[in-house]
Amino acid sequence: MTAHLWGLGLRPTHFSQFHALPELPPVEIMADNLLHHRGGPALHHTLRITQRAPCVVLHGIGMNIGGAEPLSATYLHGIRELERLFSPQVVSDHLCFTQAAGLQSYELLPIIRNKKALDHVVNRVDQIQQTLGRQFCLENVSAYISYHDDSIPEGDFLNEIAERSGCGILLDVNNIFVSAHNFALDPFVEMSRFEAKHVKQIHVAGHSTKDDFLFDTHDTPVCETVWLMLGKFLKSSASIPVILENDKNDVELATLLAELELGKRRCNGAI
Amino acid sequence: MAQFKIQPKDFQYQRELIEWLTALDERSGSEAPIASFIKQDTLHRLDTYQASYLGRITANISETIFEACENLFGKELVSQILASFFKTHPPRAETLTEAANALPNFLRTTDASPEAVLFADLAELSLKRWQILISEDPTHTQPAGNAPLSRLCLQAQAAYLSPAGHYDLSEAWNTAQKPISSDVDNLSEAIFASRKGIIFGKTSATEFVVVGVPDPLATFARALMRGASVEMAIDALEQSLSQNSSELQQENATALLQLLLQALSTTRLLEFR
Repeated sequence: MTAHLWGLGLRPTHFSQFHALPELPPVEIMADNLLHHRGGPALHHTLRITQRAPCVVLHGIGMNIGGAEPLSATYLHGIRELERLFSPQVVSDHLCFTQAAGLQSYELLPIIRNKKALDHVVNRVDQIQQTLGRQFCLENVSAYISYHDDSIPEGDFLNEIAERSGCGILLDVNNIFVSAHNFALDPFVEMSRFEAKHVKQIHVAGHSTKDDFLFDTHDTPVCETVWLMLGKFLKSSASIPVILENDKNDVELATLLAELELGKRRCNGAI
Repeated sequence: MAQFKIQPKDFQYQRELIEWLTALDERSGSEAPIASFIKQDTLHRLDTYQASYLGRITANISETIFEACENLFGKELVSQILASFFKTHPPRAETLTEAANALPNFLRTTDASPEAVLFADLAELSLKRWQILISEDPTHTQPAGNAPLSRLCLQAQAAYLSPAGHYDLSEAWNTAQKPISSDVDNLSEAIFASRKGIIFGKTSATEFVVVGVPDPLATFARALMRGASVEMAIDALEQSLSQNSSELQQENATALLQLLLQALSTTRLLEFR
């Protein structure tokens, strides 16, 4: 099996624990937490940690790639600065919209997936990649609602964007699982729609149950089915970063590293 | 590249969703215009987006930027105030911190009680502290050399001076750094016993300096802000001390002196904003 880069999302609560590790895993930086920082502790610690990390990936939430308003030059410039500073292997954001009518939601809101939206996103990915001078990756989001005008399955939608724009896909396996559950779809079938050749990075995370649906909370361990889905996918994938996300403040880094190791062994068929 | 023209109607659902989300009114999403775009069997989940948005603009920012307010006034009150603020000032900035910049003035114009004034001041200090934290770090190089004080002006690394108001702002800030159980009324009595301003600065990427500033020393700092040389600022301080020496407290004078000496030992010195 290909050796993948098993890593963690870097959170401020774990800075000191990362410093104490003799060897670091690959790390993912949350771009929005450092956007326009000229100094300070977050930038200081992130730089020190990433200098020791074997692989760094940069992940944003505010590009508003599916939105109607022009891409924010300030935001894009900020991402470009971080890209220059950290030289990440992957730069990514979500296939969603976060703002409209001049208002910001800071939420990853699902877009309508149809032909017009596809053309729109391809155009915006082109703009981003020209500005950054490199490949950009789009992540599938968890969704709790679906639109009447949705006409293209998520995997097909992202494949076509990748095919036409040359962008990559950040495949969030938990998001596929959550959305599939919420819309009564088979998660393995939905996962199989994503073409491995476009996938440049993986996310895994935990979720919670709310009423009749699953919610992407990043505060629980990764579920067994998500590890199974990932293991199946990785068999046909090139070597890419696999990042475990957990936003719960009181989880020890050692716990996350143990979960990552367990997931790695499950996916390698050792368990 | 694809050639197409964006039609506003193609994005109407985005406008409807965000306008409903940020309005934070009592109306469920299923009663709002956005409902017509969403499949009936998933419509009841729309409200979870608003709950998530509300959590982000209240709990998340309260724990990070407004930690001092949360420590002093409690999580629930801070969340209520933030929700009330963002309901009337829906966020338009890229970051929540920027979006919250108008919070102190919002509080000052809606409530004149001492507690509200204290909350507004702490919120303002929290925002200033954040700006300083993320600004360029000071560079520690060789001492400034033999420049005479008459020609030495302090400029440079980010710092912030808040002049003394009607109470001891630095005591309030320091108290608010740790969660406390005493009620705000008791604290108010203590902090209103004296008047003191505050200086924020950082001496490295990870070291943040907080100095209480009695009025006379604020005179010194303000003179530096106006571009006066150190010598001229000392003259201003001496004049102020002779008029108002009872307000000078040795511990604060020592702390300010330390900060200034640190500044003097760098080529990039202090800039008071």
